[in-house]
Amino acid sequence: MEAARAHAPRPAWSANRWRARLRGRSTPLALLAVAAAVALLVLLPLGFLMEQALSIGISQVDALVFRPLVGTLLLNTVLLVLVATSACTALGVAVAWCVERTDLPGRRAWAVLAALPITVPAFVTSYGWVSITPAVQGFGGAALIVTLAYYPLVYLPVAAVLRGMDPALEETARSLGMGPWRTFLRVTLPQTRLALLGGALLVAVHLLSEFGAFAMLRFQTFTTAIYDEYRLSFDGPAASMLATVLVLLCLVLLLAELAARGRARYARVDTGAPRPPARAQLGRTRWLAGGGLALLSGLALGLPLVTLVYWLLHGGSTSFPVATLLSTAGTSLKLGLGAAILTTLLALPVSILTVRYPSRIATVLERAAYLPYALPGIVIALSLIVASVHYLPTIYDTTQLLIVAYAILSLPLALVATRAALAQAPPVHEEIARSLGCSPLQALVRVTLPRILPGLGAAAALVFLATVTELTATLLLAPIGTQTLATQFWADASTRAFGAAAPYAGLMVAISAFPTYLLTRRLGAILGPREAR
Amino acid sequence: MNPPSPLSVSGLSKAFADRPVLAGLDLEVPAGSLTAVLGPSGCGKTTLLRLIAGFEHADGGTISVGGRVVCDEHTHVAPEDRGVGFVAQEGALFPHLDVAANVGFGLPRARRRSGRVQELLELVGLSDFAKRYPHELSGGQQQRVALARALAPAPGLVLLDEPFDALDASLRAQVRAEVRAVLRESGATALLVTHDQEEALSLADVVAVMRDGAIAQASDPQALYRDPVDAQLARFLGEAVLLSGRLHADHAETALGRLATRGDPSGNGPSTDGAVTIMLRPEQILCREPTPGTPHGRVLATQFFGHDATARISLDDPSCPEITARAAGHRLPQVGEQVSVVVEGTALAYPSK
Repeated sequence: MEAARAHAPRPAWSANRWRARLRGRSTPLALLAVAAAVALLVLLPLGFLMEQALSIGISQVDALVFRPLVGTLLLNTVLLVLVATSACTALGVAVAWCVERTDLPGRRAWAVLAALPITVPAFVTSYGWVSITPAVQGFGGAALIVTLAYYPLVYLPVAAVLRGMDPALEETARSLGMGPWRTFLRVTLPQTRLALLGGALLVAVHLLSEFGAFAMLRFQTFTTAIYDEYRLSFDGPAASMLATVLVLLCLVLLLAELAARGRARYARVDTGAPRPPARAQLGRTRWLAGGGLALLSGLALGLPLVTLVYWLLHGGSTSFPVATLLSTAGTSLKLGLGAAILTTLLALPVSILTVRYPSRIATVLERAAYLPYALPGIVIALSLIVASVHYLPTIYDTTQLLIVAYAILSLPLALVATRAALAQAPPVHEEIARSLGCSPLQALVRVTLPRILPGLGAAAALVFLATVTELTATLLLAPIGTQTLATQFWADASTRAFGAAAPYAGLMVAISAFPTYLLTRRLGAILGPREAR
Repeated sequence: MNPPSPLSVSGLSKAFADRPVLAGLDLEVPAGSLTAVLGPSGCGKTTLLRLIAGFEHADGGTISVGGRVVCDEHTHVAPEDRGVGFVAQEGALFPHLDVAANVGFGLPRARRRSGRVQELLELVGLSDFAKRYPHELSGGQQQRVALARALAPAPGLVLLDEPFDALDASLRAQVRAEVRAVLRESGATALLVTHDQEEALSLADVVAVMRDGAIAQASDPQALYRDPVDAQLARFLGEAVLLSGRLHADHAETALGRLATRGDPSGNGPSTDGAVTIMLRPEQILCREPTPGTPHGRVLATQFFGHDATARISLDDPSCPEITARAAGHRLPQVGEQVSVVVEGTALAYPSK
């Protein structure tokens, strides 16, 4: 081990050299065709949705879009996105700084605890709050609860940057006469800017997509209104029209995201700082910081879990429904596995195309496949319903359609993971295999696949996690008679049968905990070596 | 009839994003030889190898391997069908396979157990390492395994892409010698690219110097070092002392006196007025005790390398630039010392520009 490292003074392959080499290689047509098919799978249903929304005529569009309801929804949604995103950003940065850059006692435990709320679906957190007080219903409660649920999306990337930051920068600022506070504002914070921006945009996207939490909190946004139009009034065109407005909102965010990501690529902080950065001495305020973190974890993680356990123990409203529990859990697992396999298989060719054969067309296809990342589950579910009812009625109301919806929804997750894995497997190995007589496909199977298997596993785990806790698309697309943990939970919780809902939520959290554990371990490896503590 | 040449390249050209890298390159590799392509970093050496291996498509020109055209206007034979082995810069062993599996990778399934793997491991002196994984080997061992892996299917040609570049300087010489011995013993024809002129000269049977996307000169190392086709090449291959002079029948008059010349390898002949540029190697220039009647100079600076040393000498003749002489390490003159300069052997005369 030591010997090998000692004799490899240069990094094996720099990304720039790859890109220069790979550009202009002729792309295998079969690969291009498969990737194009994946992109089409994502884009076509959306096209049908737009088509339906527009097919109803201009006067109708006018009547459906320019009405008081849409104004209220727009105001509610935009205001909530602004307030909660700002709160998540402030909270995320503060927590990241305390955990990564101060001498806070027990910071290693806090680092884990602060990230954990992301594993509890927001609709379960809302359920926990609503079940103890109806006071959280409405704007204030909704803003509070989604902030508690989504701040880790800012905390995690910002903490990663702080951890990897070169301490020399801050030290230089201090040596130039800046105080700690000015150093933070003028040196530290600007470096986290891209991570912070990316995290904030991610929060905003999640908020636009959030359905379960808002429905539970009786706060009306686009997603809940679309659901009501579709489920309660069976008004397809009205729902499609609202969904189209929501898609436009999402596109605004997507454009901002693309702009941020384009720059982020160059500014990415390399893994592993030469030495751990110096930590700010908190002194007496560390009890304040510790107390704040304790309060945060209590509200974001403790409260939902404690209420969950309370309702599990004191449910009372029904006897423990073992049979239903097992059958719904089985369904969730099956759907999760199906979605994990299908999505990873769909993501792999797109990633191979973009990593191994970069070209303009590859970029376009990849962007298309990333689109669902910015689209609410309810929009994708609705578009699949429209598409299948009108063009392929045989798959309407089938498990297959539901799994396709999951695959479209979680394709961006799988793309990120497979892409990262492929980028770490140098193409020189495939070339050597070719020179030893392997066809391109054999080279992929014999050399690249064994290397990226952990990455594929991570992709599958991410998809599984997203699928088991997915509510919106499942509610709309689950065939009649199919109940998952999420839908069964929803059926009980939305009728305020808190005790009856508890076992499903508990099992959902337990099932999703395992892949989360695997992922955080993997994430640690990706983010670079932790400093020795 | 002669057996077909293991590698014959003619008129090869390749551009990346409109920047020409190879421009009509010609190269012949004799059977059983180790040929080195020598050129500065970024001159397109690696691109040449990748075109021969089939990893890239050429813009123009022809490549034949063992008499079979593998690349021309209409043909692009896939890498796996060329029978060309490849040793990458860092070895690029497959990290998920042990040494034996790496070496046997290119063999048909049936032959992997036939003893061929063991035979190759013995050839590279790593019989006891069959079950080790790449990360358990030193850099030099990894490079030997990579060579064994490339040789296993008995390819007509092995390409080596700066195979010693990633190694420590202390290890490089040893691994070079080992690789040279293995290639000789296996009888394989090999083409190696390097930017290290010392490596090329000491290792290869034929050295081809690459410049401006083409081969400037290809020859055996001694002839190449002795008779480079122009002054630029002379400097690239080692230190050169360049003086202006006037050519007569078989000698030239220079600041260092009358020097016997050998022909002009560029074949252009001197300009009509007889003005030439004289090329000497520093080791041809000897420092002696000052003697009357010989060119004199003063030692400006010395550089000591242990086994030998160089001295910068400013000649008393003001028309002459400073020159460099090489001396054995134990005979290094002192800075400031007055010396007589004596030239050994013949000089090369290039036409003056």
